[in-house]
Amino acid sequence: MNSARSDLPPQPDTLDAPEPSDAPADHDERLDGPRVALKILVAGGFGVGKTTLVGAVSEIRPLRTEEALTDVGVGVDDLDGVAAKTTTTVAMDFGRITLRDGVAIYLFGTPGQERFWFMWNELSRGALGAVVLADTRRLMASFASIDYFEQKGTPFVVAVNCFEDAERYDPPEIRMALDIDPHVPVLLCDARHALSAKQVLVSLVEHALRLAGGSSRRL
Amino acid sequence: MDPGDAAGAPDHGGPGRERWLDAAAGPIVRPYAVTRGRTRANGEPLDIVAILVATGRRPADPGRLSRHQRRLLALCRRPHALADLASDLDLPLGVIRVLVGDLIDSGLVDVQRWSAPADDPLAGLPAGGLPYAGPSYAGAPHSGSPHANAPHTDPNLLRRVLDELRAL
Repeated sequence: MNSARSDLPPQPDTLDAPEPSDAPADHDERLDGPRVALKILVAGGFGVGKTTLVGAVSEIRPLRTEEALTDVGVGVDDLDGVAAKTTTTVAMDFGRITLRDGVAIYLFGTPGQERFWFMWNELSRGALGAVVLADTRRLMASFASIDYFEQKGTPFVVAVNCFEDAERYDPPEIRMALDIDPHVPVLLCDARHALSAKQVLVSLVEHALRLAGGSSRRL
Repeated sequence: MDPGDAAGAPDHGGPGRERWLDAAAGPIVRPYAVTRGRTRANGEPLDIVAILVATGRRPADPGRLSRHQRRLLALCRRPHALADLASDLDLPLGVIRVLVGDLIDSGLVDVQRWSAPADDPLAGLPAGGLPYAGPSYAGAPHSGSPHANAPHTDPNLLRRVLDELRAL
């Protein structure tokens, strides 16, 4: 889109100017683009590699949203002097994986702090599932996410991002430490690598499919 | 702010139902100037990945559309998810919701309904599947229970996604 053009005053013919497209003139553009979008949340503590994982499997795009500072927030945060500010803009990232037949997967890295949970509610509604990214050096940081998705009934997997300087644990040890239900997949990953990040998504979709009553066997 | 600088949409509900921000609201006023100060769209909020597509109907009075709305309308010639529109226009999600809501109310843009492809052997569904307008698209409350016709719990769709992810 040409940003210069959008700064011009209203012109009726602007509506007839199509987005740049290689398609022939008689091509029905409504058949392009996604027909169905599936949401996957990537949750976890600060610095655990959420954006890294999203970026490893998809192209990252910036998104601005707003956070309303609720009464609870006002009580907790010291807002003296900025009391007039009732909302603040929050930047978050998302990624998109475009599959065939108009299916698109949208990945949302969710800000970890509790004050962003208003976004979690919106993102988890109708979501395919969630990846809880964990760091063995700070396992506690994953508890809140796990509790949240358990309560919401959102399918989730726990993926332990293997930082080089972190001690290695086996998935069974991590499952025990985090007190995760036996049916929830726990796996190790390297969020920087596309194949590893993809495997995390595969195991999440397998899990969601099992919960939806389908078999995840290869067709 | 001049209310005459209307975004061109019908004024549902009247001023009593609109939430105007006052001068004390701080820096957020600027983005919401493009929505005439409204912070909420009419009706249920659109899902962050609701897919919007232009209906092809011509606006009755194109001059009354804001430039952002004309741009949204042009983008929606091809289906776009709400998050993509917000990112393309570099406007906060809430602002895009209001602007797109106006376009929907004017009949210029529609929410794409999902239906299972006809060749999917979905038991109990008529040919072509049932149009889906459920929670993830219309923003209805999340019940936590599986939605038989929702894309995120459709085993056939999930199986396709799985096969394609594995093949990537």
